[in-house]
Amino acid sequence: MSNNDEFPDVEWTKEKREAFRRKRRGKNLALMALLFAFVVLVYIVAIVRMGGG
Amino acid sequence: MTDTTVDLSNGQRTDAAADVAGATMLAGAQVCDFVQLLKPRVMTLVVFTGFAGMLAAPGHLHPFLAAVAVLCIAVGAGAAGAINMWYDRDIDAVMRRTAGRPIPSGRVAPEEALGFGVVLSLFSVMLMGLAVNWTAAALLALANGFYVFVYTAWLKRRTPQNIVIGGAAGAFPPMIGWAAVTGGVSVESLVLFALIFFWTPPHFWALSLYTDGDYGRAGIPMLPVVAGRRATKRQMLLYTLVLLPIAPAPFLLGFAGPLYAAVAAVLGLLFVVAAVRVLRDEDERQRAARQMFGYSILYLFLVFAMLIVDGAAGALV
Repeated sequence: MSNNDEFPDVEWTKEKREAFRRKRRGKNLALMALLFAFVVLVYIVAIVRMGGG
Repeated sequence: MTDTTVDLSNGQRTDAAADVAGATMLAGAQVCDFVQLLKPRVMTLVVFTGFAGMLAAPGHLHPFLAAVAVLCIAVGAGAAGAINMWYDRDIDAVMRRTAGRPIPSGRVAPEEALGFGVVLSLFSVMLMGLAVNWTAAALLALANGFYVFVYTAWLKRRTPQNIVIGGAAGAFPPMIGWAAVTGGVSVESLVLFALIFFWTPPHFWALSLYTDGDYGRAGIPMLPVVAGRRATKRQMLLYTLVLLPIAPAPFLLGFAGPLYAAVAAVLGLLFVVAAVRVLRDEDERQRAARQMFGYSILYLFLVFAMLIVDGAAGALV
């Protein structure tokens, strides 16, 4: 989906589009890091629990 | 920066800087806004008391599972804070102390904050249950539910006893920490609960004594707004007196040493002295109340720090 489809009332300039994408990318990366950390966490918890911890 | 002035559809003129700011708003909140939703300062004390409860408890918990338990307590408390900010967004907007929060300032959409809080709350309870034990998970769920439904939605706007009863939500963390290690609830963990429960009213009322104008504007029936400052100060002194014998109780029950008891007794006496100073203070700026608010945080920090030191020393012996 393009920015224009998502926000039809907004007039997109080059600066606006760049700032929008930069911020979205930052949020997505943060979310990906969180999901990855969660997977690692669950993996270690499983190992510890199986070891009788 | 180049001046790339453009026309917007509504006829207003703006420049590149405003464009970027506008795009930032469109892209939604920043990560730091979500961190702010978790009330990190409150979370610090919650984590600290939860950790102290874990160290004071008899038994052993694998260090990694203990870290997971602390993480769950932190995330659970933060999630409840986010839901509280969602529910209270109308009164937050009119109070000076809270007007800069992410929702009233427009940085986070209300529904986004609610979703964030609910998801994190469920996540923390489920992880606590699966990784540690279900007693600790049930207590965490109870604490979150109590804070959101009993304190925020029911009591806060209805009664001046809001923070007395609602304060129970903040008293759960050491009990959760204790349950994470022992798998149960005992008299000892109830004493830790009582310590925070009776600490909460003088702590919050000290704050509300010098922010009562804010609470009055928002229509929150805090005790100084409803009963007046004098009555509030008397109540504060009463609670510090009740707290005086509770703080050294961990020593009497045998899960803290004499050094803890001595420090807790001295800190308790200083808390009473602070309450007496507040009662005698006629200053309109409520200087004694400001000092007591600061001291109340130090008091709880030091009491639980002593429990941690005691527990760590016991583990080493």
